[in-house]
Amino acid sequence: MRGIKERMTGLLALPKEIALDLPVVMATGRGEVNVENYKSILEFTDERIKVNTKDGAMTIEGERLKLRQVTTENVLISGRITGIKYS
Amino acid sequence: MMLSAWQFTRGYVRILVTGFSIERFLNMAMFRGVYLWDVERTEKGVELNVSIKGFRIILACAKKTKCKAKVIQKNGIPFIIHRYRKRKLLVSGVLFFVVGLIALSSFVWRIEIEGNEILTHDAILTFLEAEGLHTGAAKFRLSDREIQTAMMNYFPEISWADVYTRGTRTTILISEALPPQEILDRQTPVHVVASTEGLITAIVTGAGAPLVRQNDIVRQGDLLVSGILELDPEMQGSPNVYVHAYAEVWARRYHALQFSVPFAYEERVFTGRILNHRAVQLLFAGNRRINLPSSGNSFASYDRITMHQQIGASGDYPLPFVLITERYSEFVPQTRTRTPEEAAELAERMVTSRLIREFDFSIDIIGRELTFTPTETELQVSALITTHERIDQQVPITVPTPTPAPSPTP
Repeated sequence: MRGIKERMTGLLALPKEIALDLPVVMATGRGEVNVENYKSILEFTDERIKVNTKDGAMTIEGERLKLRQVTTENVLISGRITGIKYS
Repeated sequence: MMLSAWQFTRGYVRILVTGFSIERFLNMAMFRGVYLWDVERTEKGVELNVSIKGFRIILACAKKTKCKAKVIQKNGIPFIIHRYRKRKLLVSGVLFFVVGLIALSSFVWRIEIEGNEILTHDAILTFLEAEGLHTGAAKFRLSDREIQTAMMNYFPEISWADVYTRGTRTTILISEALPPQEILDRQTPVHVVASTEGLITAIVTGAGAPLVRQNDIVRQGDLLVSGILELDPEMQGSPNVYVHAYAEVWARRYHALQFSVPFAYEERVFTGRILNHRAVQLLFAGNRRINLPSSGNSFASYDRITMHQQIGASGDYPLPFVLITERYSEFVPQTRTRTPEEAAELAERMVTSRLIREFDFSIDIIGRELTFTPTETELQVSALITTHERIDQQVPITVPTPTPAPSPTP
């Protein structure tokens, strides 16, 4: 089922993240990461932030992390980022 | 920057959230569509900012997720207003100022006129008064364009006028038409006579029969160039022709000036003590003048300088208050005596200034001798000025008249 949907969006050149509800991660330098289209926040400390998305959980590690903005669509994390992992 | 400004206007609070699972609390708040920002983890829990409206929803979320939310900081305009709501006088004062400023700046408090050389300020101001534009006139009743066209129609001297109002100041720019050329009439027959007495140094005749030559001495009214010519000089009794005589006649003349320079004079020695009387004049309510408190004037003799300065918010917003400062500077009159040499020197300067003032610009001064006769109290001065000037003057001929025999030149 997923294959057909993926092929269809490819054919119709639709933006993938909207059609397939996928998260978009945009890292600006080492200071800021913006995660769009996320499901929920699983863990939040100033060293680690775990975010749940349709493709499973994502972990962002760093120092003095803080959530600059939290809205229903995106979460903007700022601080000194040391790693971004998918689990 | 804009976002924080907007948040400041709407007002927001910074809260500390403590409790069991703060992540569930954040998710619930997010689900409810509450916008959170600057969320930071601290030892005691999580600090975050939320708008006042969002905060009410947050409280419900906290209860549900068994967390505690405590306000640690309140910023924004709603809180400021809340803090000053009891201060009736302050609020009314601020309101009075704003309303007063708006009211005052809906009148014209200053009229500036530029570019008028021939037309005087008063002539224009009285005309403007009739048009309804005066200091203190209400702006909404005036229209710059109407005044502009009215001015151009009324004053023939004005070729173009521009009236524009900025803030409480109306500026009127005028460009004046060139004065009409006075037409030299060349038709009426005239004689050229001497306007004053003098020794002729040069005569250039344009038209008419010259009757005098260089080095002739003439008196005032003597005929210099006659406008009556005989058609044919050889034939006796030929009819006369009346001509518009014209000639440039230069003559040397002498002028005597007598005046005296007193030896004793009064010099003003300023003591440096200065006293300022200040007052404010209102341009409305009958131009009333309010004297500000200042110490009395105890000087025996003083110089008084009055300075007017219109108070204004900025260049374009002069307000209807004129600050008048009268500066009294005390001096002690000391009688001094001039030596004859000083008096002579002063006499020279006085002669020069009188020459500049009394003599016309076209007259050339070719010599001046001063003779001084000192007395005990003053220096009597008599100056002999020799000048070189034009003495031709046109006088109409009454036609027909029996040809006047040209007066014999002396």
